[in-house]
Amino acid sequence: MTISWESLNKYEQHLELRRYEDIYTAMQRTKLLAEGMGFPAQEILFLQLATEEACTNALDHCVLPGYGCCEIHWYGSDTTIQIMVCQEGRAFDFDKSACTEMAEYNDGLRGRGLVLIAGLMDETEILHDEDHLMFIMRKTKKTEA
Amino acid sequence: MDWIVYNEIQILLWSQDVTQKNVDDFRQAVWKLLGQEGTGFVLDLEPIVYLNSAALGIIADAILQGRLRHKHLVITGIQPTVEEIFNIVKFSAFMKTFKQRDDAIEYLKKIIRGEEWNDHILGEFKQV
Repeated sequence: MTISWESLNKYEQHLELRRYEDIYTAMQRTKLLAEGMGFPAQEILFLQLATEEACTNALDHCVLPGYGCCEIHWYGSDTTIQIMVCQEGRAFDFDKSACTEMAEYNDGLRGRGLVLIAGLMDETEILHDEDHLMFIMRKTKKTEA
Repeated sequence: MDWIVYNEIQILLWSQDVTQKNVDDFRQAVWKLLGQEGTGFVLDLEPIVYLNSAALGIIADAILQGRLRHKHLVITGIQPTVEEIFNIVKFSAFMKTFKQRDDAIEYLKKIIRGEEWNDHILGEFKQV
């Protein structure tokens, strides 16, 4: 069965992330929305990568004992796609300039997920209260000159 | 995934985009490559357009672990999307990348012959 974004938008605006397999569903949904919005193929690939990294990061933390579930939400306007990954847990630092600096000196095995997201997305934002964390990423479609 | 041996140079042609789904296969293949005899190794990514941060970590680790064992691993076949991903994480700061496999082989042949050994070593010292 082929799923259209219209049906997805109407019925499935978010997805609960329970296991790593759900990340591929999330990546497919990001692709579907971005295609529907007319993002070019390369941008869609990068949006999928940002989705994978954000979801992996959230699941890595959520699987720790005492932490609950996480969810991903999508919103699309005419030109901007917003992807929000919500999880139970504490806030983490996300400083775009620090990410760039970190990339300069990182020759290790881990620590590139947030650097990639910062480089691929136009805006990132973290909202949190005591127990919940919302990681928001936005990308706006470039208009042709 | 294809294994190719060209003169003394071992080449791994990796043919699938790397996500969480197959990142363990990618890790095993890269380490199998580095486990081969010889000093020159090529990881050819020509067929792929996507790799995640875990794959980047595996490549970075393989490059550095290889250096400790005098094994020189270079990356080739870099597509525009992969190039942009590499640029974001500043991979060019500590590894050699080539668009064409032939250029990578020529570079490694010179290293094996000792012609670029000094430059290579100096490059490593500059990183430190």
